[in-house]
This record gives sequence, structure tokens and C-alpha cells, in this order.
Amino acid sequence: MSSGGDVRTRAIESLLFEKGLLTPAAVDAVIGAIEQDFGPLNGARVVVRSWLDAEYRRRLFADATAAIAELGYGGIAGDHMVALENTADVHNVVVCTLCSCYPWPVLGLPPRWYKDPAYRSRVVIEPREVLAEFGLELGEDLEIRVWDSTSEVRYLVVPERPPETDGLNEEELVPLVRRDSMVGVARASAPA
Amino acid sequence: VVIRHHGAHVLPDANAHGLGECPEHLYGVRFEASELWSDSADGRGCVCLDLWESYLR
Repeated sequence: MSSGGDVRTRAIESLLFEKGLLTPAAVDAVIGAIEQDFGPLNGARVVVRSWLDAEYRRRLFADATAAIAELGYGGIAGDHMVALENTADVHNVVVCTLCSCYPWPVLGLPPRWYKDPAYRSRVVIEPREVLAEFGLELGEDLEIRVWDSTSEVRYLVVPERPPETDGLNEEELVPLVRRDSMVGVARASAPA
Repeated sequence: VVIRHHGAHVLPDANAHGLGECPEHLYGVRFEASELWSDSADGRGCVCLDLWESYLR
């Protein structure tokens, strides 16, 4: 608790409170949402619904913000969502080259590597190489689309449904959709 | 190539400097990797950026 970063954060926080620019209740509300309401399980439910329900899938790619809100998810850093469809021919991967923009309601807070300057620059220049380092080998014939997330629009990758999952129900499919597959650096997992 | 129109959005360049929201149209623009990185050995791909209208002028 005594690191320089913590001290600086607390000093800035108390200044913002003193100047009336921020209230403790607002800080508590954001922290509460991040801890209790946001996380990759929400995104996994969106993806699985799109695998199971063709009409929902159509709505998701037409207006992701509205389709995600149907399942009860939205809010800070998720009020302008776009869903990206991975197919046999196209693979999508998301980055924020400027900082760490990320769709909080459906994925929670970003992993450390997402904020790393090396990921943020290299995935734009040599995505195939970077994805291979994540363990995702993509053929030369596959098109890779790199999406640069901004403060305004946040992206959710919808991975392909893994083979041999035809008989599985929603609760069995949700654990196959991990965070990395919805950023685009992995596929959905195979069933155990 | 413009691939998407996101509607009007706050221009962060102005808003971050206390100059107001100055909303502008925001577009998704696709750049082919082969045009950005002519000597790339990485294969087929593209980079999609969201750009405010004034960036495109």
C-alpha cells in the first residue's frame, strides 16, 4: 500500500473530491460494477447465445449494443459495441494502440499483456506472428483483421463454435468461451 | 475504404482539453496491410481504425 503509485493515486483522488469533481459514491459505484457486474462470463453468454440462436446472431452483428443489452449487459465502456464474426476465412483480433480501451461490461478489465506497448504495436504490424506466439497458428490464406479500439467504440470477437459441440447446451458451452478468444488471440476451447 | 458509420461521437481531442464535446461523425476505415507495410511477410490482412470526420479531410 505504500508504493509510489498508490500514494499518487490517493493524492489525486482526494484532490478530485476536494474540488468537487468526483464523489466517493461515484468511485464506489464504478468499483462495484467492475467487481460484481462486469467480466468475461458475460461475453461468453453473448457468444454462446449467438451459436445457439440464429436470430440472436443476426441481431448481434446488426446492432451489438442492443443485442448485448438484451442479456442485461452494458454501461461504462460498453455503450457502443461492435461484434466481429470469426469464420473459416476471416480472423478478427482487437487492440487499443493508444492505451487500453476494452469492453468492460462483457470482458471485465483488460489483462496486463493487452496494455503492453509490444502487443499494441506488434499486433498491428505482424498479427500472424504475434498470434502464433499466443499459440494460435493461422494459415497464410486466412485474412486477419486487426481492429483498433477507441474511447468510443469497443469490439467483441465472436469466435467460431468448436467442432464436436453439437449436443452441448448453453451451460456446457459457456466455459469453452474464454476471455482470450473474445479478444481474438485464441480460439474457443475444445470440450473436455 | 470506409466500411462503417458509427454515428456522431464526442471528439476526444477537444473534450480532453476542456473545449467541449464537439461531436463529429465517426467512421470505421479499413487499410490493407499490404498498403501499410509494403514489405510485410505477415500475409493477408487489414487494419481497421475508427477515425473522426476531421481526420479524413
